[in-house]
Amino acid sequence: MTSADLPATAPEIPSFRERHASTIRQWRLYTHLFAGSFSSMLGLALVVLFLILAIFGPVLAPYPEDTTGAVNLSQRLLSPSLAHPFGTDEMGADILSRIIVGARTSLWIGLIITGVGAGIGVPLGIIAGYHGGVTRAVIMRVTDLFLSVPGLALALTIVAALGPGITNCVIALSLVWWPGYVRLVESKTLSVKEELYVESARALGASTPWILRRHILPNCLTPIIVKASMDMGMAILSAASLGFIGLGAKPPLPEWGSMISVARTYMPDWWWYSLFPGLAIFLTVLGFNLLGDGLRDILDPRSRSR
Amino acid sequence: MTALLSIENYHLDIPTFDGTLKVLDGINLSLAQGETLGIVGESGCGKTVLARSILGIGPQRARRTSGRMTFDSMPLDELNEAEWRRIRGVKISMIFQDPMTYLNPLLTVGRQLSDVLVAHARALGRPALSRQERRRRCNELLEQVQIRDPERVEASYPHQLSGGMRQRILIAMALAGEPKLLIADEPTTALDVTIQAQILDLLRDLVHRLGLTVVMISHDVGAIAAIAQRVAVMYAGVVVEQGATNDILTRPRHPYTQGLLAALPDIEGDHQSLEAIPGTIPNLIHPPSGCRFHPRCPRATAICTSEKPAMTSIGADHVVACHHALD
Amino acid sequence: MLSPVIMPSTDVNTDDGSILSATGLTKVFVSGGKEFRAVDDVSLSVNAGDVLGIVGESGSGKSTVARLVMRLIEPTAGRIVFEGGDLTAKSGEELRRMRRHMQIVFQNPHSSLDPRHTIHSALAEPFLIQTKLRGIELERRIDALLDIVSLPKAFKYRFPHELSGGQKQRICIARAVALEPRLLVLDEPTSALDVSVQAQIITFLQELRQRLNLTYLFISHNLAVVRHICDHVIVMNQGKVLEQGTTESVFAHPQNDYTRQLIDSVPRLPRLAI
Repeated sequence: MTSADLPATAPEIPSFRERHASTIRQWRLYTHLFAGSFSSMLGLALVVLFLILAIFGPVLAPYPEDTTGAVNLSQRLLSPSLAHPFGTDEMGADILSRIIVGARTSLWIGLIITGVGAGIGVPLGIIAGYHGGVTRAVIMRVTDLFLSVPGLALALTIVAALGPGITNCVIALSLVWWPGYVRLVESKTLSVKEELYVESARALGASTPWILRRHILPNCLTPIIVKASMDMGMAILSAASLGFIGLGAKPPLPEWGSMISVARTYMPDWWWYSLFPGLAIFLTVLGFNLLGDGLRDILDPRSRSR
Repeated sequence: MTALLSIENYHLDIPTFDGTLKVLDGINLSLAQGETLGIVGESGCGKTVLARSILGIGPQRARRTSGRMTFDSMPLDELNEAEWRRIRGVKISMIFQDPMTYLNPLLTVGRQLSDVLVAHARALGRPALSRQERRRRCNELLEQVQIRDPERVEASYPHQLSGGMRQRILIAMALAGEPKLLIADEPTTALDVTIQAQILDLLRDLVHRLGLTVVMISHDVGAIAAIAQRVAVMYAGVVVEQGATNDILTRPRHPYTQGLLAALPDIEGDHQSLEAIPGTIPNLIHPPSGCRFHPRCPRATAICTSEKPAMTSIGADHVVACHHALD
Repeated sequence: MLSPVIMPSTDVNTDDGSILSATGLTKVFVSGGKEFRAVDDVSLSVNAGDVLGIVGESGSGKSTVARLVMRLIEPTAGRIVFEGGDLTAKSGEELRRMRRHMQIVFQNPHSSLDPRHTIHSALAEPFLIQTKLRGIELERRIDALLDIVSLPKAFKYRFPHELSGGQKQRICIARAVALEPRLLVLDEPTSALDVSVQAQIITFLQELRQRLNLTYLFISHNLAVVRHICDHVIVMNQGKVLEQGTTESVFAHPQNDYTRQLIDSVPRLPRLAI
């Protein structure tokens, strides 16, 4: 092929629909498979509900002033009623409102922990998996070190050192979260780098950053996405756990875990105080877990029957 | 002489997200005791699905829409698990393409062979064999597949043995229940050419000594020619030609068979140019109307697009499904 | 007029007309203290415009030789001379630029293409890595490549899993010839394909060689195919070269016992009656 053989006319660029026909079809298949699973759809519904509450919280809450520390002692510890479907707490604040706005707190907790964890863990994992040798040994041993200590216990220690508060809680959990991603991504990278298409790119003269960015990372995405969606639930639960011990959010910030922490002392007479925040945590974590499971089922090529 | 295995007008569909794959479109085959039938075809022709359906291990979502399969005068459709266990390995056995993936890497060969014997005894309701009996039988089976030092092999793990050895072990396992029919699905494809020759020799020897009936599936025409007396050529879910191996290979009548043979490079090196069949295998969700080969056939005419050709006899034991068979 | 993709290389052949020659190629793998000589003192030479075949069974080292020659694996010992230059001595940017002149097509078309990238992306990759071609110019090149391998333009926006084995292999061949190499190493290019597709690809490769003035190093375990397409052949077993010569002489009069056994093992078909 010499330059003289090239077609004289300009290449026609097909429409958006034509260009992305394959991708559109792929997504239709995913949707079909996902919608066929009850648990996946339930998970999706719960997560969507959670997101709606998180985004529109203050607008939806019936008593928004209660979420920022309004005290109404005449209303304290009322059992569930039409006016207060989830009852009120010891400050007289409407529990339903606090739960709704607490969703927003949980959302950003989950996003930051998962985001930072993946942000640190994924690049480390890819580098360890691709380069091998000493680099890999060092990264994996440090990872092993972190993984050998129970995450929550380690986070506890860090928060204890930094001082209680939701910010420190999130920092501590983020620092504890990244090793899981390193493990996952390193093993996927090890298998992807042996693929012929990677060798093919090397044969074309591709540099290492090119290969990592263009071939390794996209092919590692599936396990990352599945883990991240399940991690959202686990991160929220972990933050709630720290909050439960009293190391998380400080009042009046509505955080589900710390709400239960206070509610503990009001058990069993004022049972609604701990039930509803607990239920909120339960449903949110369940939702993310089911969603993660559902995503894994549709993204795993082996389960795709075509 | 009644047929040992008879497949009549067998239609098989597999539903998928994009539509229903019409995988088998009216297969007619029969096999007499002691015969070796080769089924040759390329990917997508349905030969593997057909072979697995005989044993009831076809794709889970596959649905037989019409036709039937009969073995030894017993229908093979609508059997339950208990009935299948009395057939698989005992009356009909199968060996597969890649021996490594069909052997458990964590158990010794001896253990795996002996497990097969135990399973068969249980399925048939016979008393369990003693350990000595089992060892004797295992040695016997391995010697039957020309393994000279059975004791050493029995103590080994699959990864310690060569590809050819593993295939022999699979054959031994398949023969453990003394089946009447052996289905071999691409048994030599994953093997080196020198080992291929040995395994083909072994199969021929077993047919001769044990009176085994064999169905051999392969895309390698040479391997089929080495052991099959009769051959069925499949294309896109249809048997296009069937007959004595020598007849089919020296005077193919179906344009696809002829195209397939012309595409084979010759080891003897006559250097005529390879003729490729133009086009690609059809989409089985929307297969071509009439004869499934017509879009790629140099002899196609109007009738080929509208009417599915019936199997017509063109000689003693030679049938062809074509409107314009070559002569 | 369109500018050429790359400046044509000068000093293509050495005096003896060979475009690639390797001497004493050796590759030793060490695992758990044990040494495994995958390739043991192999020497070969390919003339410009020729097809040199390497045959052998699994474990013979033929695929390793292919990768050594491309320097995808580093040789433990030996020297490779390509287009007059010492390939073994090159590194870094120089080696990267050398890669434009020799390319490889692998055995398994199903895993040679990144499943997450469209065909368009796969065909653009060689240009994006090695040239400054972008935009409309790049589109033209991609269209031209699809023409060379006789595939419709519509395939550009498909994913590999939507293509058949033969079509995927054509795309891999297109990727390999994109930068106008002089030498193409083909590692079992048709082993994973059906017989009729194999015939299409072999015929296509022969025609491509004429059209683009290529030289082939053809690795295969299929002796019939090698006999059909290669001018010269090397027989390998357990890392060593057992026999080499013109295809005709090696196949018709094999000198080595192993070669003879190899040729005899291939099942013969009864001859087609004319």
